Amino acid sequence: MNNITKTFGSKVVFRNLNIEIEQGKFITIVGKSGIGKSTLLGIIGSFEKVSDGKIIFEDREIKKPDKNRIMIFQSFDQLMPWKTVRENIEFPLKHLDIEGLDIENILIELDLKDVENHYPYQLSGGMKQRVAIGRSIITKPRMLLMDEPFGSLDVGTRYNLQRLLMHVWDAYKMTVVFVTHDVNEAVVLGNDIWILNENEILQIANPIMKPRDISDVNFQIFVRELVQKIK
Amino acid sequence: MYFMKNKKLLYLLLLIVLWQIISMIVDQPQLMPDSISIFQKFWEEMINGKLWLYAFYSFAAIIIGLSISIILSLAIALLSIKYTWSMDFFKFLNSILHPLPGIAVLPVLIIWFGVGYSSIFALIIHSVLWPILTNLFSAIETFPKTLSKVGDNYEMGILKKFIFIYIPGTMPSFIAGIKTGWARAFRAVISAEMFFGIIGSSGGIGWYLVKKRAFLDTSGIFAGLIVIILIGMFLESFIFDRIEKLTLEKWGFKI
Repeated sequence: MNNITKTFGSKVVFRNLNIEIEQGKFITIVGKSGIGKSTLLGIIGSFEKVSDGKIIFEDREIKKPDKNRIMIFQSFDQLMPWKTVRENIEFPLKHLDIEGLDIENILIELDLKDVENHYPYQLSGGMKQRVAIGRSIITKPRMLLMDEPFGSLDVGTRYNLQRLLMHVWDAYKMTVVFVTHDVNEAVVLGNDIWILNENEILQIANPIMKPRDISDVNFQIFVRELVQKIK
Repeated sequence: MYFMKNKKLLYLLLLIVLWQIISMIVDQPQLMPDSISIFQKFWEEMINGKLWLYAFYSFAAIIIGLSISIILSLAIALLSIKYTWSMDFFKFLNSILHPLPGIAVLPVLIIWFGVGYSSIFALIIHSVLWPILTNLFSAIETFPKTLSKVGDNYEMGILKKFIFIYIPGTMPSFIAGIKTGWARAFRAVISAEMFFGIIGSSGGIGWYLVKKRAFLDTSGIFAGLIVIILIGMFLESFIFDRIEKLTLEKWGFKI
């Protein structure tokens, strides 16, 4: 992203921001609330228009959302209530008319086989987010953009979904940009952790080896360092 | 045991018996014919008096008018999702025209379209379109933005998004609008038929009632009312309930 400037009325959120996202990375973005994490993610996905600057994706300038950069939201209403689990996951394939991943494998890997014919209202929050992940990976996108997808889930479910997401990322080799307000989550998931402060992005490589254990002393020291850098 | 399960049937029987008793006390068949002669008349009129044909005319007019209104409302909704000015304009138009009773605009419609089916259809469209639009607009305004963004993410154009995301997503409000609209249309059509008399080769159920009143055929009037009630019950209990079961209840919109 070159020289991105984003304003809301007279408020400048970003000024001349330059960032580069490397293919295949898992990047987590943290920062205090209201700093513009979701806005930044929206800009990467072209859901938010920039006031100035260019977004280049694989040598092409892009202006509209497309199937290469799929967004996963926090809110549960991203699923279609009138479609079953299976139909929700298959939805993009039908509309894009492309060959995607095998739906059976996805249902099994995301542990949704038993509920494939359920409607969203019959699912728990964690299951709904698993369906959203299933739908987003079935088209084999280059990049997943996740806006606090586990934000409304309880600790246990969140832990399980973090493991699952790591597995999906390993298996399908997609670039992931993951926004969270939880620094622990950022360190569990990210190769790189970006701290978003007022008009500055600190990019920090994650030194903790996988599998990352929250109770590990080094993990906690690193988290403390990061927290001190959030302004 | 059977009646315990079917309370409605029990109430209906009770009503018929009650009616019979009161009509026997009143003892003036021209004011209040007894239940048995009403049912006899109903049967007779169905077979010989072509009551079913009158009913069919009214019913067909409503179904055609309803279909035109649904297509119109969808076209306006699509335009209003794409352009805010369209939403503003039609909301304004709606606020003016929605409160206007169908029968009140009939004189204007007759001057514009003449006495005939064109006026009847215009009347039905006026009765149905505004309630549907009121519901559709509020549904569109509160529509989850994330769902619309999912459509953008998969490069769906506005038409595809409308058909595959907005229409099913606004279904509860849409059906509620059609239900209100149909009830209003039914009232309007029967009033118009009473006003018009014969259109083309026959008249509707409204005209049938006017004719029966002119001949002081009270049982005949009640036979006509039974038909109107039956049409209403058929649409409510069979058509709308079934549509709701197949969509809203299945999707968890209504539990």
